Parts: sequence; C-alpha cells; structure tokens
Amino acid sequence: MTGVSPCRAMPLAVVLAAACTLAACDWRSIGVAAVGSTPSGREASIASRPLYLAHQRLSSYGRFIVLYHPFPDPIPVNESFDIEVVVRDARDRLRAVPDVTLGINAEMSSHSHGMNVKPIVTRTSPDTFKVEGMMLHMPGQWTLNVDLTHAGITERAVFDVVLQ
Amino acid sequence: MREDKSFRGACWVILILSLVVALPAWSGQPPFPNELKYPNIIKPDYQFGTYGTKPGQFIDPMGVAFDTKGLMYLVDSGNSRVQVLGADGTALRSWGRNGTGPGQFVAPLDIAIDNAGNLFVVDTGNDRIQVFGPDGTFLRQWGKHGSAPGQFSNPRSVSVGGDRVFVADTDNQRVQVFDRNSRFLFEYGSFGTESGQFNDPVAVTVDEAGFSYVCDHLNNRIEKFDPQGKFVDTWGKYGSHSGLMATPSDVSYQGGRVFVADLINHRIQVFDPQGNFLFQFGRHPNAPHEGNGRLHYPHAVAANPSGKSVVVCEPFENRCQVFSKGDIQLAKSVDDSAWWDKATRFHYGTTAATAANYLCVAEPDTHAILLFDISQDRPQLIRRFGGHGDEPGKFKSPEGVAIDLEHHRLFAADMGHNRIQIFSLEPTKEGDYMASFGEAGTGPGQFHKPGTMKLDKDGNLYLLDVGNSRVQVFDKDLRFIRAFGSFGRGEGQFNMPSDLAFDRQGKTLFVLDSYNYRVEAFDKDGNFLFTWGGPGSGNDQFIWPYGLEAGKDGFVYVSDAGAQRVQKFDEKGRFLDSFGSFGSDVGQFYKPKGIAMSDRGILYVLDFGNHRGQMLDPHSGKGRLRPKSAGDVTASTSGGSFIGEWGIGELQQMGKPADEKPRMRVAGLQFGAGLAVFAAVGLIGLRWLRKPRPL
Repeated sequence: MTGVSPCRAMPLAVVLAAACTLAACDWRSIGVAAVGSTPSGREASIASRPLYLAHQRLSSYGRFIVLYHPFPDPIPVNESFDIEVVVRDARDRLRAVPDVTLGINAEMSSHSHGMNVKPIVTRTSPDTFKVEGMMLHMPGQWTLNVDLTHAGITERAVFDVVLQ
Repeated sequence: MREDKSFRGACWVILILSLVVALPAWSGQPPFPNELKYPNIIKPDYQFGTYGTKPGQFIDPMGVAFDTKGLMYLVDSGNSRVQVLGADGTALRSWGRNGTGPGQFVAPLDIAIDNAGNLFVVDTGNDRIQVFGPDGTFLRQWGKHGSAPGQFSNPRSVSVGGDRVFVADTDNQRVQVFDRNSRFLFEYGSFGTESGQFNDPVAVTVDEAGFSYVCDHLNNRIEKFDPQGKFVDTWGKYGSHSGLMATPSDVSYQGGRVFVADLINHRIQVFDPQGNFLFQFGRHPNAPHEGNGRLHYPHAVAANPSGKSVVVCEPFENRCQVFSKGDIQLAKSVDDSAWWDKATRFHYGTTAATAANYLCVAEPDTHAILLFDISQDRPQLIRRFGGHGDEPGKFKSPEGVAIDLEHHRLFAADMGHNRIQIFSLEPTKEGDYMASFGEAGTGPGQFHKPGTMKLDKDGNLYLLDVGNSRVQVFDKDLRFIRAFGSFGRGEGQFNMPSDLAFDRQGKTLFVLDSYNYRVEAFDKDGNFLFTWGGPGSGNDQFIWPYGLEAGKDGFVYVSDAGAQRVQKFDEKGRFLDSFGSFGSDVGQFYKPKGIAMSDRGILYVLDFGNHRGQMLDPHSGKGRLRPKSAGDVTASTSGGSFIGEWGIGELQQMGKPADEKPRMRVAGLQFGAGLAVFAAVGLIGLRWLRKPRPL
C-alpha cells in the first residue's frame, strides 16, 4: 500500500484548509476582478503582493472597508512615497462606492505633529485612490488617517505605521 | 525747651513714617502682585465695575469707546444700557433699557464715536444700529434682520472712520460700510478660511487712512482691508505665543497701534499696522477675580485718543481695567505657552448632558468634550475628546453634546466647523472618532452655528441650528427628517436659541429662546404649543437665559447667566422656585450656563465663572434662603440644596502659585505695621497734648 493513512492525511488537510481560508480572506484579489477594473501597473503590483491584515480596516462608522499599500514598501523615513487606497462597501465587499471622497493625513501623536507636506489625492478607478507626495519625516509611531465622506457623513479608517 | 522740640521732631518723623507705611495698605486697592516672573503683567492705573444694576455696576460690559474729552462710553449689555464714565471710572450718567423701541436695546455689544461726538451703538439682538447725540438723545436707527445690503444678522461691532461707518455683520460673515447718513456703500467678506474671508468677524476698526482691520474670531487672525474693502494682509493663527491668537474678540486702532483682545489667551496683543508684533500685556489670573493687571477673558479694548491710556473690559468679571500707555509699552515680549497647556481642563463651558452614569460637558476654551462618570459622589473625568483643529475628531469651539446610549455614541456640535461629530463611548484601538456630518449653509443637513441637541425616545436627534434660527431633526441613521422655526419674535420663531429639552413624556420639546427671553414649547412635529418668560429679573423673567433641562423629574429648569440663578417651572411653564445668587460660595453662581439632570435627580449646573460644576438637589429646598425681593438680582441666597461641587481642586492645582501666599503675607504685615506705628504715634501725641506746657 502506498496510500496515505487517514491519520497522516489529517494535518495535511488542515494545512490545506487553512491556506484556502487565508486566500479567501484576501478580498482585495477577488475585488479587483469583480469591479471590472483591469489590473495594470501598480494595481497589478498591489494584487501580486502579499497583503497583511494590518493594511485593512473597517472605517469608524462601519460603512467601508479600506485597504492601503505604500510605494515603496516599506515606507522610507523622510523620503517622499505614494499610497494606493482601495475603498469598498463594508456590507458588500465586492462593491465600490461611487460617490465617496477621500482625504488623508498622518500624525505622530506622541510628538503632537503631522506631516510637513500636503499630498495630492486622485481617483484612479471606481474603488481606488492614488495618494502622491506623502512624507513621514522622522522614525517612530505614526498614525495614518484616511477620511472618507459619503452622503454627507465623514468617517475615518486609522492605520498604525511604525518607521524604523 | 530743647527736649520738647526734639520730642515734637521725633513725633513728626514717626507720623510721616507711619503714613508712608500704612497708606498703601489702606488705599482700598488690593495689593499689586509683585510679578517678577511674568513681566507682561502691568499694573493698571485703576479698575472699576462690579456685578449689579446700579450706576457704575455692570452685567457684561461688552464694548467701550473714548470720546475726545477722555470720557468712556460703555455698553452695559446685560443691563441693556449705555453708561458714561469719567476719566477716573466714576459713573456719570446712563440711558437705555430692554426693548425694541428707539433708545431701547436687546443685548447691545459695541459702541463707536464720530468726530462730532455722536454715538453709534450696535443693538445686536435687534439687528440694528442706533445713533445718539453726545448727551444720549436718540437721533436715528437703521437695519433689520436679514442678509440684504443694509440688513444684519447678529452684528457685533461698529467703527467710525472719517465719513464712513463700518459694521461687522457677524452671522452674515461680512463687513458692511455705510456713509454717515446710513446709506449702504459696499460690503466685503464671505464665509471661509481664505484671505479676505471670515469665520465670525466679531470686530472692526478703521485707521486714519481708511484701512480697516477685522477680528476674524474663529480663524484666529486679523485681516486688513484697503479703503475700498480689498484684502491687503492678514496675521495671526491659533496658538499662545507672541503674535498667535486664541479666539480673539476685539480689535481697536489708535495712533499707529492695533490692539487685539486675545480672549482665550487672556491678554492684549499690540501690533503695528503692518501686523508686526510689538508687545503684549495681561495674563490669566491665579486667584479668582484677581484683576490688577491679570486679565480674565478680556473682551473689549479701546485706546484713549489722547494717547495716554488704554481701557480693557472683562465682561466675565463685570469689570474694566485702565492702563497707562507708557506703562504697557514697557511690557517685555513674553513668549511662553498659554494657560491651556498648563491647565488641561476645568474651564467648564456652555453645555452639559447626562445619560445613565455619564455626564458630558463641552469646553469651548480648550476645544474639547469632557466625559465624566457620575456613578460616584463626585464626577470623575474618564475621557476627553477633540482638541483644536480642522480635521475630523478635532473642534473649533464645540457647543452642544448628546449621549446616545443605545448606539454607544456621543454627539458633539462643532460650531466653528458647522458640523456634528460622533465619538464612540467605548474606546477603540483606532481611536474615539466615529463620524461627522453637516456643512455650512441653510439647507437640510446644513448648519450655521450648530448648538445643543437632544435625542427623543425613538433615537431621533433634535438639533438647535442657532444661526439659522431653527431646529433640525435627524433619524438615528443621520438622515434629515424635518426642520422647524425661523427668525423672529412671533410664535414658533427664535432669536438666538440656546438650549432645548423634552418633557418627561417625550412629547413636548422646550426651546430656550435667549434674545426673546422666553421658553417656547413645541410638539415633536415642530408645531408651536405655548410660551412663557420675558425680560427682567423677577420670577418668570430672564436677563441672559442660557441653559435648559427637563424631562427627568417633570420640571423645567432654566439657568440665567445674567441673573445668576436657576429657575424651576412645571411643564406648563408655571414658575415654582428660584435658587442661587451672585457669588462664589456653595449654591451661589457666577454666570451659570449648562445644566443637566441625572437619572438620580441631581441637577448639574456648570458654574462657568467660578470654573466649577455644582451638584444641587432641586427638591429639598432645605435651609434655602430666598431672594430679598423679586427684582433684586444681587439678593443673597444660600442654596441650601447644594450637594457638592467639582473642578475647584483642579483649578487650585492649576493656578495657585507658590508666591501667592507670601504676597498676601507681605500685604498683611504691611497693614499691621502701619496700624501699629499709627497707634504708637496716636499715644505719644496724646501724651504730648496732656503734658503741662511752660507759659
């Protein structure tokens, strides 16, 4: 008998199941195709990169799921970098929210200051925003605040960023 | 003979010495602080004014101007009159009373004098300018509520320059310019933060060349315009260092100097006409109601045209201080942090709300919302939301608050940004901020100075949109439902509404209509039901009605920041009781503002002027003394239903300096030594008189 015994197959099955579950959690890779935008350039780059849960947030009022990715990654200290932010409806994660507008800032609460630059935000697809000209000018604990306004209500997704 | 001469000489020496020592102690003025640490505290020549209705007493002196003879014309806002004071602060005469007729006022806020000595008074609550002759004779008036040229909405300042009259038309976010005959010439300004725009222009002044300077209150800056109203320059932004400002409240030009009343920094800053910082004077007091160069919410400033003196009025203290121009120019530039960095809280502000074990207080001075746990005997601060800023989660002068227990959230009206912000009652890893909604405007879901709010039993939010004179209603998902109310004095109309609350059944909404001195009752759909109140200091009357609470025990409570009391009514508006009086003792008030009742029936009153909150049992009445007479606003009452207070300990922690006691001790020793020497001289003199003299 060259077959695998059920006892030996069980751990393998568990590992496979866990891998499948993790893949399913990576909603970004599913979402890009679902909204019909063609992954090209940086989007393709986002889709091909491993995505961490730390880069996903439910916004403060619970209407949106927000994901970001910096370019370059990791974020350099005191150098300009860009961010791509993907915003989806929290109740239907495959759906982009057409009228949402996005603002972004970063602050270092322990030092009571923010960024010294004002980044430019442009919408590149129904669910994706490009933020150019970010700069975190010193190492330490930063907070990235993504403010989303839709139907007159503004809410926020907060990400912690630690720069070495 | 020789012995007698030397004895007399010794007596004279002792007498002179005793006078030198004793007189400063008996001069009547409190000892001037020896402020070596803070060289920006300048000794005033004198100060005048106390709380009251008699000549020389004030209820909120809001505006002041000098004439060419050095007389001071002071707008005594809470008493609805103009008082004329001599160069030494002595009250000479006054005119005006509350009302809407010629020569009558509703909350007048500023005064200006032209070259002929005619007086222009901003009658803010009546949205008009009144003109009087130098003797107070009514000459003419113009303006009514509205936004068209020549109309006003909450105008707060007037200035005369040459043949032109400039009016800061605050709620219309503009300055209007008129000729001497009240004919509209032009206007400038709009709402915003860009150059030439305003967020509450509260004061305007004009220089000899016709350039105007506007105090842009909530943008924390001064803007300068040319004689045609074209923007020229701006200076200032939020902060406490030299040249920065915290909600400045007045600007006054005189002799090449631009004086700015820097309200929340408790100081006067002086600039040249190009906006270069020159010097500053004044500092927040350490001891309550200290004065003597310490300034407490300096609201108005004016310089004598003679160039000799500057008067600073502090409505908060019902007082003015007069400084020598020579002295203040000696003030060194002091560039340190303002008080709010040292005092983290405890300047309890304007509104309060309770729900279950929560008490929530707005604190506009620090642009924050404070959340207390009131399950214990004394409120415990558990959270602080906000801080100054423009981004979500920050505030510019927060006003109203409401607690939504069902959704574990807190609503806060961000007045300066015309938005409502929502915070989580339970802290999360990502922070407290949840969402915000609203923007400047007059449409549904738009606001003009959003104020207090309450939730009904269905979770709908009833919000006072103060500047738009209406109540807006939103459902629990923040969708606009309806609005009701408009500007006016009629039934269902408002003029500066300041608070609202539901009755116990949740069916009747009471709205405190401040400038109309009344409470109006509506059903939940906004239909007018009935009203009560009126101007005055008697029962069922108001001077400056500010806070309203209802619903918990079947009664309606109204705080009166002008009459220093809380009145209690039944839900039909029938007067039942009044408690409180002017003072700092327990049960007394110093401008009581926000008011809220806990589920346990404890009434929390924000005793704003005493920098504390007081807890009262409005039902016991035990040991309470009633006012001596219905019209006596200074009558003594003890407020026997006092339960406790909070905030005082923290205030002392904040302010009581180490040098305070020695200073008092020095004053006491000085007085004692003077008294002893004088007594000794008296005894010796008596002995000398009784001594047999040679013929």
